[in-house]
Amino acid sequence: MLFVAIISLIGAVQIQAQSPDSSTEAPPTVTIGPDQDREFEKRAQGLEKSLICPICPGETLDQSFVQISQDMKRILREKLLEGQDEDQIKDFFVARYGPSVLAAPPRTGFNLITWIVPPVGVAIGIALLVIVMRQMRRDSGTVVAAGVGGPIPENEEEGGLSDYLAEVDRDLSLGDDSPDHEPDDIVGVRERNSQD
Amino acid sequence: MAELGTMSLLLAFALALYAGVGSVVGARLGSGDLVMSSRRSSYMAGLALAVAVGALVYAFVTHDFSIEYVRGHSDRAQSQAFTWVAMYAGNEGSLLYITAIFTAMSMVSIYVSPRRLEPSRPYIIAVLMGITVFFLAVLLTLADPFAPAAFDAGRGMGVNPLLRHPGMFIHPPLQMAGLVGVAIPFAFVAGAMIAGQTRDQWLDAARVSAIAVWAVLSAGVLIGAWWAYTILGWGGYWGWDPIENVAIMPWLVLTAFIHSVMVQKRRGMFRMWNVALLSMIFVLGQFGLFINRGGPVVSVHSFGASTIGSIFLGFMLFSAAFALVIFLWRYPALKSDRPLESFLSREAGFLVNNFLFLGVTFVTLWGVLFPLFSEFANNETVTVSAPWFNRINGPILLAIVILMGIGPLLPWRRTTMTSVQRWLTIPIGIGMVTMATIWISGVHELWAVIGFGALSLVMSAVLEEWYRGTMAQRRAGHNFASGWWRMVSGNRPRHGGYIVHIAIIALGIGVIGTSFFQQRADVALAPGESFTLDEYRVEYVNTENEQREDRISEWANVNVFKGDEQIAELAPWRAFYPAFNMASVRASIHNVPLVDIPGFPEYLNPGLEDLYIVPNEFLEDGRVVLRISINPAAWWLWISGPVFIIGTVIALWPAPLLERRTVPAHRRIPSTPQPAESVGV
Repeated sequence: MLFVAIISLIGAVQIQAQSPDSSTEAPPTVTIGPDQDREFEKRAQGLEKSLICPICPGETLDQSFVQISQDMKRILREKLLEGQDEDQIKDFFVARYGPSVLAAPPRTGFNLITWIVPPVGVAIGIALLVIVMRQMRRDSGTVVAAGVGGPIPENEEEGGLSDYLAEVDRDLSLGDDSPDHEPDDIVGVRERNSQD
Repeated sequence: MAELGTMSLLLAFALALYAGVGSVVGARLGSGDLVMSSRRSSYMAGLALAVAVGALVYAFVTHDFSIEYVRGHSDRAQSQAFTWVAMYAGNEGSLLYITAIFTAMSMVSIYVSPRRLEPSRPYIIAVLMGITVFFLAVLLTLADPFAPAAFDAGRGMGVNPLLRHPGMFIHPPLQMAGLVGVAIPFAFVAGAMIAGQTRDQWLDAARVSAIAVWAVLSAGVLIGAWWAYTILGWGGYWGWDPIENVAIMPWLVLTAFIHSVMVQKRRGMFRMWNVALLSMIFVLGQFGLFINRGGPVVSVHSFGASTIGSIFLGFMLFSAAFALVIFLWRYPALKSDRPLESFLSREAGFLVNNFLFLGVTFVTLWGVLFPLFSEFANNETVTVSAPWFNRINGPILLAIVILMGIGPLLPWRRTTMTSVQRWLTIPIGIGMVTMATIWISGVHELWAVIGFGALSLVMSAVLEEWYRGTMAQRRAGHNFASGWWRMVSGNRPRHGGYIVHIAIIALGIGVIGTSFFQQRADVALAPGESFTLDEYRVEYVNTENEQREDRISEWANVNVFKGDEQIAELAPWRAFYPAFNMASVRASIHNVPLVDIPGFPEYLNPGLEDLYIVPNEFLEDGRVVLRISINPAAWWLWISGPVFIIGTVIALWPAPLLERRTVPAHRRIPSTPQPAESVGV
């Protein structure tokens, strides 16, 4: 009961906020109050973030302070209080302002494409990535064995390394002289150095 | 002044045209004199543009309302400081700024371009000047900043209230410079391709200019976010709106490039791929210009509606065709020197990195374009906004963060599972422990917990490597600080990169904190009343106001208490500008420190959360409607900026362009068979 009483204040809040002349009541107006209604407010604010202010393109309700979005904030709270769920409330606003009032297109019909294309694109991308990497690896047999890799780009870091830095690198053991590596790794290094 | 400005523009146009055409003709005919004179004339074009900018700034500062653009974007009432920067507040002036800054960047690039690019230089100049000529043509025909006003009313319109903010001095110039600057690395690579320097001759020039432009763009985006946070009054900083999206797309691909270019630098691989990336970045930069110029409103409906928009669209398509032709022409010459040896290697890590960054770019582009597509194909207007982008891009960004922890630990060429395990055990362990700790402490936002886990993984991987490197230096007789510094200076690109990764961690902390844990209330308070949000009690004292020629400003005096202790006095501010029928707010932000370091200014103490108050409305009965929010970890968003800069400066410091010329050949051969591959990025 207390819960409902507190919540119902919220509607009043928003009305007062827009129409100063009608406000004779004293209590400070709150949208988040004591702990009980925090869950409610979280839902309401979630809805605010998923609806667009109809007259300010691109701004969601929570970003917008114009009259119409204040009204919408009040209405969505009233409807939440009546027990409607998020989808019903969104449908209500879509019926009123058209589908562009939703901050993200619905996952139905034509608009499903928005949601499907990215994951499908990423999946295709992963497939391509694997194919490319396999392709790049397959080349390895020929090129490395024949030792016909082109000239190695000179690297000033390598050349400028003093001995203690070499020691650091050995210590960091990011590489090739660690015992974990197969012997042909070392061969690879020699090969490179000789090419240098 | 108008005459001087117009004449400078005409002069710049002629010089740039001459420089572009002359350098190509000179290179074809083998005339060194013609090439040199073209090169000098490109410098002169830059100077002429500087004069034009100077003329416009002078017109603003002296309130020359006989120029339409000055009349439309300034007035006498606005503070004098803003007249210095009002020149880029509108379409024409910002286009002039873009042209001037681009030409200035071109001058520097041409001047410092390495000698090994000598054969390509005429073509690099031609590409740069071609872009300049396009901008100048638009300025001279469709967007003349010096066009006379219909009548000199002796007063101006004033600058848009939202632009009256200190951020105005930094954000637009950096953002625009970054967006247009992405053409510089492209010009290097395109010039080299045309001249047939298809090996790695262009690599350092492209890499250094790409990192520099990347840093400028990063700073521009971050300062823009900070601006939005303090002035737009909704407590957010990033909304995935189309303008933000087109600014972030070139940045994302640039980020991919500055990683993958290291593979080319170190291993002679991915050459083709890097050329493709730079072309993409260039076209995305043009796309950004088109969206920005397409119409004054951020409405997707007005796409390309104005003439100037369609001209930018045309130029973008031309750029894309140009880049594609060059790429296809030189495609056969761009083969890798060597193959990918293992999926468990840094090369492979960079490939995955590139894939993920392109993934975010593709998703973002799709989100920007879908409303158009829907309207066209389905005849229905839809909005694709923050919830969609967060949902789709969030997981990819998380994957990037995780890769950022693992990738740097993979050695070049190949490794074994055991070696990977040895390196990754500690970071992954720390990541797991972090997640468990956060979960047990009662935070049950799954994505936030995973995100924090990933961030701690990255941090511990960097620290692990730094610890080992520093300890090695310690054994060589250095203390911690100088040991760390010697390690960093031993491989600045790599360790500068790590510092940038740390900046990303800070950014990530801020993003997760503010997106998942923000609390907010809109309340109306009468004087003397207070409202409690979480542990903060906000007491409204009274309102004061001030009337000026151009605005009526009001601010609420507010006391903030935590427990019984007063922690801040704030004065959230709002002003109404009758000339624009527009209000502008200034948020009052109190950084509640995580640890209070005495003697430090408030903003330097590592932040726990921001208490953020904006006045929405001052009611006639004396009450005020405040938006009060608690934005956890917001401080970390802004501290990432300076860290970014430090990391980038370290990475770029020993300008490889200059050093390369002077490295004696014998020094390039390692004296010992050291593990050259392990030097890393």
